[in-house]
Amino acid sequence: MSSELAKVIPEVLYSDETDVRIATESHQAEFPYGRDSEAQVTRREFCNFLFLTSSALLVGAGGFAAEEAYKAKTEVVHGPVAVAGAETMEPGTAMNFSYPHEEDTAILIRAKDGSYHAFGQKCTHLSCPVHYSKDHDRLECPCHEGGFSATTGEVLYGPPPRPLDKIGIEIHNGRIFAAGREVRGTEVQRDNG
Amino acid sequence: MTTGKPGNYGIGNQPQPRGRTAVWTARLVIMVMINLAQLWLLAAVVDAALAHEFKQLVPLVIASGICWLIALTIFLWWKPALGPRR
Repeated sequence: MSSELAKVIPEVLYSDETDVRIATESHQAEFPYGRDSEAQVTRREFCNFLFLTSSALLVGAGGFAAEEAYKAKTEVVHGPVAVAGAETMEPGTAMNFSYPHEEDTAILIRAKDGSYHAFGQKCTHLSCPVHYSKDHDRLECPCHEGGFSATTGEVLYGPPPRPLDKIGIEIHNGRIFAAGREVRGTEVQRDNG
Repeated sequence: MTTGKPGNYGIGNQPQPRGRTAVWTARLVIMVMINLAQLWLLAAVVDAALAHEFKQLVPLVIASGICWLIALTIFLWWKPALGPRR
């Protein structure tokens, strides 16, 4: 028995299914089950599965929409937070920081004219982190070559569907504060300038 | 009239008249199309929610619900007739 099994196992492991059936045919009497009926999915079963999938998609869509709408209604307004090291930035440079939470990455840009602008660092296409390009004076996404304006955060080119999240900047006593983060939708026009 | 190969058929795999087979197949194809539409709607819901375009969420969820209702109708009532017509 064990020698027969030892012979069959390599045949089963290194063969396609047809050979598996042929190889194990002599042992079917010991393990009798309807292989053909077991392997086949009936149209009825598949239709049942599709209906369950449809239900799951409806629940998913409704649940996601409800969760996001609830989060937006109960959103907490965050107060100003000082951005450490922003005062020493040279014009035409950028630095990363987090606002309002640690996981909400952001980028602060000091434009060539000395003004400060801050945006969420997640590209609105597929959430890759954008970086500041000093040569082109814009924010660029390395993943799919999207570009955003360094002063307004609007889409200049590429696949991103909407502008970067805008973070308000306040200056008090020479210190730079991030105040408020705004998610902007698709109603903002592309900046072709 | 029956179709299918002679042999050991499992439960649910009995040979059927061609008309019934066609209805079952059509049912299946329409359900697949509805699922694809709902997948697209789910993607649109996620995109609208991330953009905080909440006005778009309600019509999208309603559309997904309508697709589900159609799938439910097909699932419950769209079945081939049980016996031959007389």
